[in-house]
This record gives sequence, C-alpha cells and structure tokens, in this order.
Amino acid sequence: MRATKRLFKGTVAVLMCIVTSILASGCWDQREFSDIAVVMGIAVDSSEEKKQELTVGVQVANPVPYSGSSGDSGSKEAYSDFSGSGNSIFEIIRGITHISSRRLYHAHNQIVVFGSSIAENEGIRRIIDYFLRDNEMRYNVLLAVSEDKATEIFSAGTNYEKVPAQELAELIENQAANSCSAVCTLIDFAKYGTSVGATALVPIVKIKEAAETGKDSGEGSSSEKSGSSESSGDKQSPQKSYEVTGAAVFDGDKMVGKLSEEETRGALWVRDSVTRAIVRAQTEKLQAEIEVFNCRTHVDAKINEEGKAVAKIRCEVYSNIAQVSDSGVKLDTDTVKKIAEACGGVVKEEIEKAYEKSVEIGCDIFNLGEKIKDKDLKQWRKYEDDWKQLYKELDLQLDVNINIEDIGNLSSNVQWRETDEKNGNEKEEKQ
Amino acid sequence: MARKHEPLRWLLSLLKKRSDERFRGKGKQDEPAKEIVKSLDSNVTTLQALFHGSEDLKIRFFEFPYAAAEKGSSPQRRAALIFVDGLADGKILSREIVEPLMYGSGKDFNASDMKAIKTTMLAVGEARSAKDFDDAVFACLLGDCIMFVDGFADCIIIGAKGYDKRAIKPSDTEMSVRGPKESFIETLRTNTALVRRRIKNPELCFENLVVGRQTKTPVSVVYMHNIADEKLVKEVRRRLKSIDIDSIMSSGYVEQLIEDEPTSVFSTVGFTERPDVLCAKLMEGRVGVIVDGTPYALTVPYFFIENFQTSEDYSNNFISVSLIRFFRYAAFFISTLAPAIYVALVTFHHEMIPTSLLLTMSAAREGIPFSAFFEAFFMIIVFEILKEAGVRLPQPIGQTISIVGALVMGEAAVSAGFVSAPLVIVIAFTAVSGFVVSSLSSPVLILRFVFLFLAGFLGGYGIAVGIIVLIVRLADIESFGYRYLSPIIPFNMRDQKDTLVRAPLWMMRTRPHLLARKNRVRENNPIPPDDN
Repeated sequence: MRATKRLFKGTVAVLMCIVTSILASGCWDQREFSDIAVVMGIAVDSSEEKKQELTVGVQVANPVPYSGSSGDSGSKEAYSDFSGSGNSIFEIIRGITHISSRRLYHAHNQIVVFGSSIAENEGIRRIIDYFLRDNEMRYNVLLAVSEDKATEIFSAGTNYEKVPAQELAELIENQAANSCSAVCTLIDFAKYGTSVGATALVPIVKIKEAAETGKDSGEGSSSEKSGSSESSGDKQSPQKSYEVTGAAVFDGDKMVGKLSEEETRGALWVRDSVTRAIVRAQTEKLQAEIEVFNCRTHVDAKINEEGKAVAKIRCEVYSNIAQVSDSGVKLDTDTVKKIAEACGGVVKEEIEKAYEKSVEIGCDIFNLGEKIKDKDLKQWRKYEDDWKQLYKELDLQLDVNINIEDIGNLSSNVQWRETDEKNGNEKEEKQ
Repeated sequence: MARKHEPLRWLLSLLKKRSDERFRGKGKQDEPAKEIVKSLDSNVTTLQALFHGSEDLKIRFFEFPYAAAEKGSSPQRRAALIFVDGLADGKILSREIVEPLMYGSGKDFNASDMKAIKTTMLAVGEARSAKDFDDAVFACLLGDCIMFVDGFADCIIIGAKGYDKRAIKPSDTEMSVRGPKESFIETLRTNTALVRRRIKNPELCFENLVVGRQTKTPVSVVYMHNIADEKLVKEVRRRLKSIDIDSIMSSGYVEQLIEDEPTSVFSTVGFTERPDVLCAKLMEGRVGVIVDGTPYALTVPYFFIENFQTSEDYSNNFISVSLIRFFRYAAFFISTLAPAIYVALVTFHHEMIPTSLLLTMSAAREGIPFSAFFEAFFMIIVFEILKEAGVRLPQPIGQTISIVGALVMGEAAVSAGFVSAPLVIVIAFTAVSGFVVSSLSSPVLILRFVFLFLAGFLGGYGIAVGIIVLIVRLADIESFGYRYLSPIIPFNMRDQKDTLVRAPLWMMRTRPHLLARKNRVRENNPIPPDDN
C-alpha cells in the first residue's frame, strides 16, 4: 500500500516535471532553416509621395551553397531585396511576408541604414522604438545614415562579402582602425539619444562610384580607403563600393548636422573612442606620421561657481612612429619629442575644430553632460535645462600628451644615395 | 541501500518476489552427500553413476605394493585413479603417481591409512583427503585427480590440473604504449598468479567462492587485507554468495547480479583486462572479483571518474596526462551532446550561431526534406547499425562495411540531398568522440538519444533540463555504499588529485580517503623529489 502510494507520488512528480518543462519553455517556436529568411540589413526612408509614410528595404541572405558542393544553384544570387511602404515599420516588415515565402529573421541583422531625409526631417524615434522592442532584434546592430536614399544603399555590389549589407557593416566596424568615423549601435543610440548631456554620432555612408575609386587608388592619400583601393584593380570587383564619410550628429532622434572625418575624430578623442589612428604632423625638419595604438582620455568636466562649464581634457596617446619623410634624419630624443609635440598640436586642433562645429550645430558631441551627471547628479539636475547654452560657452582646457613608444624597426638613420641624373629611378624605402 | 521510491525499482522488486516464490526449492536438489565406503569397486561405481557414465571420466585401476617384499612378491593393494580427461595432466598422473607407486619397492611406504599414503607415498605438490563424494566430484571437475584405495573409506584429491589454456597475450581492449602489456586469460588460477606476481605481499588475499548452480564457476574475491575496508569486502562477499543462478558464462553475469543500480545505464562495477590496472585498484582499497572463464576482472566500487582514467595515465608526464584527461571529458560531452546541440541550434536558437556560419549551414540544409531532428536521429541510428555490423565481423568483411558505410551512406546521402553535410560532420565527430571513453559508450549512446529528443522538442532549455536531471540521477547512484560521483559529489578536496587532472606522482601521497580509511599513506617522497 505504501509502495503504491510512493509509486503514485513518483509518477506524479515525473509527469509534473515533463508538463512544466513543456509549459515553461517560452521558445516553443521551433523552426527550421528553410522557414526563415535571414535579414542582413534594413534600410528606412521616408516616402517621397506621402508624408508620414515610410519606405523600407530589407536585404535577405539567400542560402547559396558555397563552392565545393555540386548543384545548379551557382547562378542564384547571394541575396535578395524586398521592399515595402506603409505607415509604420512594423506594418511594412510584417507586410513583407506577403512577398517573401519565408519569415524574416532579424537576429542576424547587421545594419540599419536611415535615409538622411527621414533622419533630418522626421526623426527616427518610432523606428528605433520598434527595433528596441522587438525580441528578435539585437541591441548591437549597427546604425548608419545614408547621404542619398537609404533603400538604394544595398544595391552596390560587394568586394569581399556575399551580401552588401554585411560588407557595409564590416566596413563601418573596421573604420576603428582609423577612428575617422563613429560606430553607433542601436543601444548606443538609445542611450545617447535619450540623454541631454550626450549625442549620438552615427556614421554617414554613401555609395562610391568606380571612377572615383580608381583615381584614389594610386595615391593612397586618404587612409580609410586603403581597403577598397587595393581591390580596385581586380576585374571581378563591382563598379561601386561603399564609403564612410564622417558622422551624423543626432540631437535626440533627429539628425541636425554632419561632422567631417577630421571633426569626427576630434570628437572621438574626447569620447575616448579612439582605438587606432594615424596622425600626421610637420616639424621644422621633417614630416612624420605616428600610429596611435592606444588612447586614454580623462575628462574632468564640471560647472564652476560662476555657473560656467569647464572641461579639463587630458588625452594620453600611445603611439609608434610609422613613417618620416626623411630617413636620413636621426630620430634622437629631441626629434622624437618635437614630433610628439607637433602631433599633439594636430590632435588638439582636431578637437578644437570639432568643438567649433558642435557649437555651430548646438550639440554636446563630447558627451560632457554625461560626465557632469556622473560626477554630481544634483548639480546636473540644476543645470540640465541650460546645458546647451552652457556648452556653447564651455571653457575647454586641452592637454594632449603623445607618448612615442617606438620608432619602428628602422633604428638607425639611413642615408639614401642622391638621385643620379642618369639613373633616376627611385628606390623604395625598406619599410 | 535499496531505495523503494523509484517506480522502476519497485516494479522490479515485485517481479523478483514473484520469481522467488515460483522457483524456491525447485532449484536446489540437495541430497545428503554420499559417504565414501571402504570398497573400491563400490566407490568407483558410485562415482560413475554420479557422472552418468560420461565418456570423459577416466578410471585407471592399478595395484601397488604397500610393504616390503617378504616372500617373493610384496603384498599388493588395489587402487584407482579417477580424473576427467582433458582437465587433468596425464603426465603428472603417470610419472608422479602411478610410476612411483607401482615400481616402488614398497618398503619405504607406510600404507596403514590414507593419511600415511598421502604423506609418504605421493610425490605431488598438492594432495588432500576427502570424506564424501561431493568434494571428490568437484575436485574431479576442477581438473584434479581422485585416488581411491581399496579398504579405506576416504580418498585423496591430487592436484593434477593440466588443461589447455590460452597464452597470455597483450590486451586487445585496453591498449598500452608504455605500461605492461600482459592481460588476463580465461583461467582463474593464471589470473590470480598474474596479480600475485605484481603484489608480492601476503596481505594480498584471494577468497574463493563457487557461483552458478549448474556451472559451479569458481569466483575469486581479491583485496589487500591491510588496505581494503572490511565492510566493503564483507559486502562483496555477501552479494556474491547471494547469487543464485544456474550458470555464469562471463564476469558480465556476476557484474549484473551484484551491481547496485541494475536499472541505471551507468555501470557501477568496473572491469579490466589488465592485471596492472587491477593491482592499482587494489592498492586504492578497491576489491576485485575474478571469475573463472573470463579474461576480465571486476572491480568495486566503481566511480564515474574511473571511466576517464587509464593505466597509461600513471606512466606518463602528469601535465600531458592532465591535458589528455581534459580531452577525454570534452569527448564525453561532445559524444553525448553534439547532435542535441546541433539540433537545438538549427531549430531553436539561430541567433546563437555566428552569422557567416548560419549562412553556410542554412545553405547546406537547403532542400533537405527532413527536419534537423529526424535527420540527426536517422544518422545516429545508421551509424550505430554500421558500428554493430562492423564489431562482430571478420576483419576482411569489416573493411567492406566501412567503405559501404562511409562512402555510400555518408557521401551519397549528402550528394543526393537526403542529409546535410554539417550534420554528417557532427555525427562523425560524435561517433569518433564516443570511442575515446569507450567504457561509457553504451550509456553515452542512450543519453545521446535522450538529449536529442529533449533538444528536438525543447531546444536548449531541454538540454539544460536533461543535464540537471542527469547530474541529480548520477549523484544519487551508489556503488557498494560509495557515491558514484565521488569524490566530486560529495566533494573531497584531498581526492581531487586524480580526477580532473592527475597530480604528479610525488604529490599523490595518500590513497583515496574514501576507500582506504585504514591505510592512507601511499608514499612519503619529498616534494618535489630532491637530489639525494
């Protein structure tokens, strides 16, 4: 009898475990790969015809068998584009189910591109809200602003990746190597956009025509293009490629201005977002470029007794010498020091330029307000409403310290033989 | 020790009760043991009757002089040697028993009684007397020889075992690169000798029992008297004695009849083919059971971590061994969980796959008619069938199987679009990993299916629930009074030196605390060993 009771208890326990495990599983949405279309990028534009209406382009990666597997699917495109228009982004994205046989799957979305028209005129509040609420959307999806119509941005071909949206996303991420453009994820945007003392900087992207690429490739003058210029000689590469030019400044959810590449970096120095950069400076003897590999910025911002905002910014920059114009010059301590000073001046100048531009736009692109808030919440509450005015009259005290850790593999100075008139071919530098 | 609250166990115990009632009394045909009488002919007839006239029972009558010759011929005494042909060594019989007796002068012999004959007349190593036929018959069956002498009401059992046995060969199942290569054979005595040769110490004990109502299989309990816990030895003895079965064909029978958790897929009794492994386990305070007729000795208690230890571990550098041990644990998890994780990722958690991998995988799955779950399920079954086909096949045909299996099943199934290539990779990797910890291969196979079902229906959540239930269940299992997961659950810091990593030999100063309570110190080396 007791044993029967125990058996009953045991069975109930087992059954309960099974039932709860089934009921408690929130992810009862089993789906195979063949049911989903993996969204790689979304572009949002305001509609041309009607106000308040949106046009949304969605780029979906097609499951194309990679090389090695047989089949006739070689001709299949690696991606397909869907687009729709309507009053809300949710409506449009759901509407795509009518034209796509597979349900859109957003968890692997790489990038969301906004047309500059919608960003400037209407603001992107309601779109961001949908992305933040949707449980499939990742918070670390990249945001970008397109100079032209966003829905056309994914039409450029690819150089490396199979899907243009992916290539664009990677291009933006790799800009960190030069720190000439901001990287802004969805959660960053939400964080900065909702704060008075901070500003979201979103990279501006555009399609670059082939002719332009070809012209640039020879010079290599603009460092951020090196990636694309290398491949421009390749016949397989498409006629178009992407380019990131500066950053869009968002006041809240509205785009209010643009920063050039130089100004963007100026802002990033202060925002402590520079990871790698190249700084070029001219001393009296030579022109030098340093390669920054680490930068730590300490910002001490406060509002003093007179009610004036003061920001003491100290940049500790760690770098190597990447290149000097004349290998014959001995890089002794003095010379290195001079190079460091000159580069410090350049960095300072960039920051100042960025500040001037930000005053013009009227946005705290240095996120100084956040710093004050972190330090003294009471004070910040008092001055919060006047912050924009205070920022314009900011007392900016810059202290840029460039540490040159290494002068490169070429440790001794090298004297080049003077160019002969007969034999005029230049020798390449060893480095 | 038995926990009644488990439904399965309870059902089993019900069944057991029923069968006990049904068979009680029928099995044992205990007739009173027949006494040996004085008449030689009568004794021989009785014995023949006991063997039902079996052909291989050989009887050799002879006469021998039992006193010095006085008038021409010595007084003769009739005797008979009885042995089983093929078990007893004919040479020993003729050279050591019959010859000295028959051609001896008889004057040195004292044949007044059996004891005197035994002590003065037999030139063999082992001789003892027996009073009844049970003893005599059993000795006969073990390969010994019985000698009846006319006029005496007892017999002498002469050790003359000389049956054919297999040579001692390197182990087939537990390979070794550096360690000793000998392995057990089917003969119990040889096996005990192999152990004794490694432990030259009177503390090493062999206790013999006979198991199997019909087969009467000798079983030897082996332990170190000064290390093993008496309670453990007692428990092993008790369980062996309580076995009531007609036949023991291999030590696997014994294992199943003495293990704590017959309903668990995890075995709580270890087995080894290698004497050195058995000796090492004895030195840790474990008890071994050697069954006649099986080249595998059993060891108890058996813990989960022992599946991941090999004899080679102690011959090699401890750092590399620790790393390899980590691989073994990893292989165990892979072989259990890889198909389940694959199915969970593919059907539930697409967001957990890196984007480029997702694209590759979804491309590979394009056009596959089955869901990932059924695909994995079928492929595991196909692999297991191939494996089962290969295991028991002669070598030349085995190759055909692997070619058919690998090429036709694998390659053709992928190119025909029945299964996706990533899945074939996952299943292949799972299968290969399964061979790393071979002693766990059967539980792993079952768990693989269980986890596959959980993953197919509940995704990663199901896998997590499954792992929790598995760990709870494993922690609940006992092996001869010790927790199966010890020394991890319950945790014992001092015993960790041979679990996840293997400590250097000079640091393993004490035996496992749980097992060797009465004799803890294993060594007393300086740490680390110095020069002198």
